[in-house]
Amino acid sequence: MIEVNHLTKRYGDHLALDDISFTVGDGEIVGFLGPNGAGKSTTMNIITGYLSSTEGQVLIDGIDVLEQPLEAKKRIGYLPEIPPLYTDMTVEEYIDFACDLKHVPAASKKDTIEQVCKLARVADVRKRLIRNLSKGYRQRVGLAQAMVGDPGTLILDEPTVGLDPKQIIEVRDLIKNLSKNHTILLSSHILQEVQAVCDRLIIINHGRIVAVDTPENLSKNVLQINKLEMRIRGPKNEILTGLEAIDGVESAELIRVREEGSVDVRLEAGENVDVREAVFDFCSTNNYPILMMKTNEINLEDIFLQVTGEREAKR
Amino acid sequence: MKAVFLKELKTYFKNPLGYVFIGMMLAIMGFYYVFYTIYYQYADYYHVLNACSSLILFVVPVLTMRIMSEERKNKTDQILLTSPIHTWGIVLGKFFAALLVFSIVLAVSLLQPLVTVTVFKGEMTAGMTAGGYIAFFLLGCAFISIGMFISSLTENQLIAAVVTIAVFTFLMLTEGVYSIVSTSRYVSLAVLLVVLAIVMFLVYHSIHEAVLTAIIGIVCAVATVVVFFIHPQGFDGLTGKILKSLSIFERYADMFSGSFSFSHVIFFLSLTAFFLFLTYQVIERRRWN
Repeated sequence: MIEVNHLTKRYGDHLALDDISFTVGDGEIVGFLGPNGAGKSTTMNIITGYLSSTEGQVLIDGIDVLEQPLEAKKRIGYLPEIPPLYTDMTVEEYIDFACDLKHVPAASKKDTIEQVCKLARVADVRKRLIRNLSKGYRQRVGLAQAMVGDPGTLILDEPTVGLDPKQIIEVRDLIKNLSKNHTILLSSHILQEVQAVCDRLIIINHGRIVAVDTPENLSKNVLQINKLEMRIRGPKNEILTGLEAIDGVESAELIRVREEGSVDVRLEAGENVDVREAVFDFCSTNNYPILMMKTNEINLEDIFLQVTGEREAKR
Repeated sequence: MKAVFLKELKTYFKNPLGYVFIGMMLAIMGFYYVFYTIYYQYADYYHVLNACSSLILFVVPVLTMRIMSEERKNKTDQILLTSPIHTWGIVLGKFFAALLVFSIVLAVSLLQPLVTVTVFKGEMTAGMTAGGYIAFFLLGCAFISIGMFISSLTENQLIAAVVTIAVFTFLMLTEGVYSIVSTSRYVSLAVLLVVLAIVMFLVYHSIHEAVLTAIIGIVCAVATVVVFFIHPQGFDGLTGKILKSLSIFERYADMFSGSFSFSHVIFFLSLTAFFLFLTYQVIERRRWN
C-alpha cells in the first residue's frame, strides 16, 4: 500500500507539487495521469526516496520513506522515466547487479534473473550489451530491473514510452498480470494508455490533483454526444442547410472534402442534446448516405477542462 | 557496498580507463626506474617514487573524473539511490574500487625494487622504500577522495577532470606559500575572520537558517577578537603556521625523507575521510534541492 500525505515540493520559488494526497490500496493499479511537467515524475521520485519532499510524508506499507529508507526501498521496484541502465553491461550483468543492490541471496540469483528476464521478455537479448539494444528493449530491461527482488509495490514512470504497438499490448498484459499480487502506480500522459489497465486514475496538473476517479466515470462526464463529425455523400449546400434546419442543431460547418462527391461536416448541438437519430432520418429521407459518423474523441484536455471547469463552478 | 564496489571495478576494466591509468603509471614509473636506478645507479627506490608523485596530479583525475558525474549524467544514480543500500555504501564502494586500481599499480611496481635487490644485487634501505610506498599510497587515498568529491559536483566528466587537475596543481604550487605570507598578527586576525565568514556562508547554504547562522557567526567572531586582545602574541605568524600544517606535499616530502610519523598518517587519512564525507553530503543534499 502506498500512502501519500500532503506532499509539497518546492524548487526555490517554483512550486512543483502542491499538497498532494492519495492512497493506492493493496493489489490496486492506479494510473497517474497528467501532461508533461505536471509533477508526475517528481511525485514518483519522492515516493521512491530519490528526492525528498519539502513537506509531507510517504508511507509504503506503513513505513515512512524518509525515516526508514532502507526498509521502505526494499518494498519498491522503480522504473524511472529514463531507465537507469549501464550501457556497458550486458542485460544479464545488469540484472545481476540489480540483484546485488536489492540483496537477492546468491543462491536464488540465477532463478531471479531467469524469471524477470522472462516476464519482461528480454530473455532473447540476455547476452547483449545494453548499448546495442533498441529503445523498446531498453525500456523492458528497465522494467525487469524493477521486478528484481519481488517488491510488493511497483512504481512505473511511463512504462510504455518508446514501445511499438505490439509491445505496448504486451507490457499492458504484463502489468495486468503483475497486479494480482502487486500494488502498482503507473504514470502516463496518454489517457487510452492508462484507461485500459487501471482501476483508478489520478489526474494531476500544475502540481495539483484535479481528479481521482475510475476511468469509466471520468470519461462518462466528458462524452460529448453533442459534437459530431460526419461524412455524407450528396450535394454540399443542401446537406449543410438541411442539417442546420434540424431541431436542436446549433451549427453545421464544412471541414473538408475527402472523398469525391461527399462532404465532411462538423455538427454542434445544444448541451446534452442527442441529434444523431434526427440526423439519420434527415439523411435517409433525402437519400444522402452517411459514410461515417463519430462523436468527438475524448482526450485528456477535455477531462482537464471538464474537471477544472467543475471546480471553478463550485467555487 | 560490495555490489557497488564490484560493479565499479568491472567498469574500470570494461572501459579503456582502467588500462589507460595502469599503463600510464607503469610506463612512467618504468621510465624513472631506468633513469634513476639503472642509469644513475641510485640504490634507493624512493627516488623513483618521489619523481612519480608529481605524476599523480595528472593520472588520478583519469581514475576519478567519471566516478560520480557519469552516474548523474546517465541518470543511473536513480537505481543506486532508490535501492535498499545506504548512501555511504555507494561512496565507499566507489572509493575503494578506485583505490584498488591505484594499488594494483603500486603492487606491480614493487617488482622494480625487487629486481634491484635480486638481479642487480643493489643495496637499498628497506625502511625508506617502505616509507615511500606508504606515503605514495596515502597521497593516492587523499587525491582520489578529492577527485571523487569534484566529480560529484558536476555532470560533465571533462569539467571534473580539468578542475581536479587544476586543484591538484594549485595545491602543489601553493606549497611554499606559508613561508612568504605576512607574519603580522593583524593579518592573521583578518584571515581568520575571512575564513570564518566563508565557513558561515557555507553553513547558511546548507541549513538555510539565517538567524542561527548569524548567531553562530557572531559568537565565533567575538570569541576570536576577544582571544586576540587577551593573547595577541598567539596571532603572530599564525597564517603561516596554519597554511604549513595544512600543506599536503610538505608532509609527503617529510615522510619520504625518512621521518615516518603517525601524525602524517592521521593527517592523510582524515583528509580522505573529510572529502568522502563531503561527497556523501553532496549526494544527500541533492535530493533536497
